[in-house]
Amino acid sequence: MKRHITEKELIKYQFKLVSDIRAEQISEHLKSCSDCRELAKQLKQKFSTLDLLREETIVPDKLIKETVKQAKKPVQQRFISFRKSTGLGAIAAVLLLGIALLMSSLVGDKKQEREIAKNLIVSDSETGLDEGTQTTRNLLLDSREPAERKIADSRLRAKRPASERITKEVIPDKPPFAPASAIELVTLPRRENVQITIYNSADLTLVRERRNLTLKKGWNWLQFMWANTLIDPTSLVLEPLEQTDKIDIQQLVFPARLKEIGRWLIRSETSGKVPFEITYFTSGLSWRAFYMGTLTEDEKRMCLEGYVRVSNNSGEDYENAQTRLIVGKVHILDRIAELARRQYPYNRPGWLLSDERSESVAGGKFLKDKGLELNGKLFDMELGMLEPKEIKKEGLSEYFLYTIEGRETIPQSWSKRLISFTADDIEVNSLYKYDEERWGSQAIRFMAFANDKKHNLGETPIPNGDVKIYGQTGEQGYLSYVGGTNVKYIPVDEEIELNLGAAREVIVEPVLMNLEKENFTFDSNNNITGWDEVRTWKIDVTNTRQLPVDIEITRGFETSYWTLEMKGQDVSYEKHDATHSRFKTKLGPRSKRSFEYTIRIYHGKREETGTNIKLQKNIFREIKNER
Amino acid sequence: MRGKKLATIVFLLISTSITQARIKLVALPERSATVIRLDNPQATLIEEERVLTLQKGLNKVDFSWKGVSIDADSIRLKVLNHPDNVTLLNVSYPPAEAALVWEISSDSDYAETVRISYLLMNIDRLITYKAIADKAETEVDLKSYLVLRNFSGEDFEQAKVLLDYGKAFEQGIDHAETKQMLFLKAPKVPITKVWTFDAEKLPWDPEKLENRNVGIPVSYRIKNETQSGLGKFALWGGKARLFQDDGQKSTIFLGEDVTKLVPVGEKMELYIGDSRDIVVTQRKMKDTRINVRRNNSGRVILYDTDEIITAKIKNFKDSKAVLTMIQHIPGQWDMEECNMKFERKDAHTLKFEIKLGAHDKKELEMHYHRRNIRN
Repeated sequence: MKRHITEKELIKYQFKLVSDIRAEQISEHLKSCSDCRELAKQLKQKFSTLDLLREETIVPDKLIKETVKQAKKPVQQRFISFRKSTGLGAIAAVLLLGIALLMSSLVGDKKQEREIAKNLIVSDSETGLDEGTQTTRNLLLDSREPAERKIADSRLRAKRPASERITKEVIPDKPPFAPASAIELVTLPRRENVQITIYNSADLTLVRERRNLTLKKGWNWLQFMWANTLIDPTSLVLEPLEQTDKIDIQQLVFPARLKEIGRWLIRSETSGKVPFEITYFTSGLSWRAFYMGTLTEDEKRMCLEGYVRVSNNSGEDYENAQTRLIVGKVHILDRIAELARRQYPYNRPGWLLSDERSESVAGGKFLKDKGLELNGKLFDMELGMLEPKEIKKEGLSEYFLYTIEGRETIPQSWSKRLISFTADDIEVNSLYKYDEERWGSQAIRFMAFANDKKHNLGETPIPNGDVKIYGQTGEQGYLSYVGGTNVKYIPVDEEIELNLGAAREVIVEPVLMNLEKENFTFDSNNNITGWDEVRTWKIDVTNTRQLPVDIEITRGFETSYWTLEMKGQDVSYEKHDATHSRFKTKLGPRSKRSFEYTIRIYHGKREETGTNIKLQKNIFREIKNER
Repeated sequence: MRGKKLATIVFLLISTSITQARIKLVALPERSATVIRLDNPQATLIEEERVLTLQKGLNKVDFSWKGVSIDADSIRLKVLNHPDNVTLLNVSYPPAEAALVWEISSDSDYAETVRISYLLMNIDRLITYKAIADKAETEVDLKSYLVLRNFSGEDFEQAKVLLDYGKAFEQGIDHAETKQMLFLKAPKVPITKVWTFDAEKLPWDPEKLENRNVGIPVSYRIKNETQSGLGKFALWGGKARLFQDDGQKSTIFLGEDVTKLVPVGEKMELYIGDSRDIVVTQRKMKDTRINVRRNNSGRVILYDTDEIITAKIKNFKDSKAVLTMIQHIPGQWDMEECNMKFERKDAHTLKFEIKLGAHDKKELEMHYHRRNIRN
């Protein structure tokens, strides 16, 4: 019995990649062997029914060289591998349009080939392709080795008549079978437009790409690969931007055995070029806000500069992308990076999916930018020679959308700093707070202002971020570092209090001046059932600074049963809540002030005294009146 | 069934003379009319039809499987052509084999079509939703996708797929393949945007959080009813991703949530994220004991409380909002004074609907007594 032809050999035979002698042998064998004939038929069907779409492509020189280099290698290795082609677009989404691989009717006649190439150019002109595109495509075809060129030419040659034929036919109900083949020959439709929307509360970026694809009437398969990226395959969406009533995206298939590949099955009532939009989530891009404040010498005013720093660790270069940043806390169930790493996009049955709201990963760990910051020469050039880019801000739902003017190129592992806003002449208040329960026995310095028009702010909320405050010393404009802190998200019109840490120059000392116990009550056995504890406190406040300061002192009593008395002192106080009181005062430069208050705390049965309740109510009413 | 499938389900027609030796003379009837029934999320039922060549008398039919997981107790056989002439006598399970043997009695020689049903593991479906809200957040374009996952070990070249509603559709799916397809499209579904402050779940005083914001959860509410363009069937549970039209021919991602099964007439509530532009500062201003009762030893045995809670609400947004505030009062209680209307959701839960204008401020004051607290 004769040896059967291997599948590999049959593929080579279909592509005319075997010697003439071997081709003749295989041809003879096929006549006599039904098994091999059946296999050849399957292979033919396999490739011919993989509907491949043609798209005009501008191919970089590098790719042409790579292609030529690949073509010179043994045939078995002549795939375009994107796994290691990070620069090209393992892309964040290499969109691979399959091209009809024609198995039959290859012709070796060079003259005829030339005619076909000529026809291609003519017909491309008819479809409005620009000259550059044609040139590039010719370059690509001409640069290949004959065998490869033969495949490409034959593919194109076969495609056109097939396409024409189909336009006259009714679209079959059943889509063609698309094999999950590891062997592909593909074109790369270029990105027409890329928009990235980066979130700061989660490691999440929404990418939106626009590409022009050429569909044929009937069924079309479109393949998308994302090897070496951090794309969430469950987020992939393809939508036509035109002729939406004639184009139906029927399904997205994640084929068996092949990883990081998705295929859309498209039913099209039309043929020709159609703009499409592909959206997906990716991980690895991040941004954060930070601020620099410079105080005037008297510390009454401040210039505040807000920046955003965008970092790219996604594995993909984003060139000329419209960059948008989202301020807000988004709720997501799964980390995008984890979705990107799944072996199967939707996992296997039996795997638990996230459904716990409380386990939201929003606010999760950011990918810290490890790359270089784009300062130095390039950054100086941008700021020195050109105007800094503006950031347009707009509120949407519970978020603020920052759109960076123009387009940005953020290479992999790089970060970019952009100025978000500058606000001069912000009136600030130096506020010192003292609360033993929260900070122990030291006063804490706060810088207070409001995110409103009065303070030359208030256009948009201020995203959370690090703040560094500098002071000015002397006429030379030298700076001194006052302190740094984090600022939480500040909505428009809300007050901001920047915690600058422990204050050495403002001292608050509470001193117990008197302690009395009185109004004891007894039961029938002369056991104590209640009493009042009366404490008189003196609070000494010292301001050693050369500037006036506001001071807020909070005192806690650990009980709800208390009354407080203050007599004739220039210090205001209020009941902060059931167990705390708060005192406010101002101190001039290098000055001291003392005030006293008496706190009566009721214990045991004395808690039930009507006087106590009445007093409490009175205090509450006073507080309400103050409001 | 394709030649390269990972698993096989094989029929063996065994002559009556072959008994326990399990030497198999195998005929492989063609599989046809395969149905994958996905209406029950707990298990997937496969039904397939095959033609058995039955001889007059007793026939043994061997059903075995490899590389797939079938619940052996779920396997059923139904005779379709001659139900009155062909009788299933018994089913036996051979030892240490993934197989069973039917004994079938036939009154004549038939090429009989039978339907085999069984529960197959590791093949199922998921539902996902994608909704795009308009800029004003009054409606969404809702799409739902069916995700078929087949990790059963079996390739299905072409099968009828049945959900719990709608028509069956033809679909092939290989082992280790996942397919996602659109199956519901509902444009302009009205939504209600809801902000919810639950005093039991969220911090009361943002000042004490040291530079952290308190996010008020924000949800979209969708009603599964005909007025919404829905209401034809229950909406299955699944992950929903919400986007919003940004008015620039693009969208932003708002958030995602998992919805449970929403029967017709019920509401789907999708939590999208937290609002930091509505700030609630809640404080207990009074908490004292009143009406204290003591026993003869002077020990407190029963008392009431006198409690005052205030909640300042600030809306920093440029737009209106309705905040749903949930307050909880344990035990027996009565309200002495409250400056806002509330709905009593249950014995211990109060619900306030607080309408806030743009950049508005409101303050809730509740003065209540908890009664008959035993010490």
